[in-house]
Amino acid sequence: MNLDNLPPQYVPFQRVRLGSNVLENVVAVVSINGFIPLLVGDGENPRVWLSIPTNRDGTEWYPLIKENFSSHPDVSVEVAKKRVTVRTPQGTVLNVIKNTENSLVFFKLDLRPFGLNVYADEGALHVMGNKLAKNEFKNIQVVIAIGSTAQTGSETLTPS
Amino acid sequence: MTDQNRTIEGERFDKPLVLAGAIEAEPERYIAEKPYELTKYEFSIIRKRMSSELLFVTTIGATAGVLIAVVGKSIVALIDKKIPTVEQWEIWAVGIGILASLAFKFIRSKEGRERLQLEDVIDGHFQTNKPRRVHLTSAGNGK
Repeated sequence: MNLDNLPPQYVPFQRVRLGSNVLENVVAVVSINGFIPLLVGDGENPRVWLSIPTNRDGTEWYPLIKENFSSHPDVSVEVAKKRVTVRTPQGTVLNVIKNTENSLVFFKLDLRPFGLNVYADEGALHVMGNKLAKNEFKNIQVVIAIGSTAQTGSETLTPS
Repeated sequence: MTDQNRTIEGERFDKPLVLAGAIEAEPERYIAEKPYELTKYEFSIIRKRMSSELLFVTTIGATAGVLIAVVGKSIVALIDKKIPTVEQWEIWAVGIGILASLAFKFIRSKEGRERLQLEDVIDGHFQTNKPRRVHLTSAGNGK
């Protein structure tokens, strides 16, 4: 999916905390050559959409999780009260919670099992070898655009 | 583009951050096959329960109920050291039930046939789109 083709059920959180970074009024965390692999939307519990690449060019993607439904037997989505955890045989790849202020907190994010060098712990977000900590991203569609033909809704490449 | 292995800390962004990079490996383990693109009409066919299927389940269930009642009655008679008896209507009910069940099982309605046809189409899709095991060492992009 890309910015023009988001699931109709997807409602972005107004505020997200990801690896000590704060995101406000943001649609998606990351895009790869214009494709958005991960969405975590607002709802009674967080709603997850996760697609993984089926080739190294990133031109084809496989919908692994559709609104908290796993389309692969090895991948489980556990929805508890306000919390969603995605587990694979390689370990937990996503652990998010919707807190009392209606914002989203990433406790864990790890897309490395899917060939994407994106992961985060509570201290920092790591993207393609770069470490991002204690930054603020506001009023943008995609926080980080990866790739040579990144479609971001903006042309700016550097911090403001 | 920004360089790799940078630490970006304490910055404020009101525009996206663009980073160089690419997909590092194809996650074959999780890719079962090419998904089938289901249309809304196809979904409505799958969702619809076949009337013949419903009639079959109802008839076979009712027949089994009569049969269990007859067996139960016979067991009680044997416990009481009496000869079990079977009413004529019970024999007719079981016989008609079995025949009707077979009829509902093998005579398909139009919607039933349509559903089976769609199931064949979907099955054919997954037969021809086996799990992928390509790309990693293809010319020019193998790493």
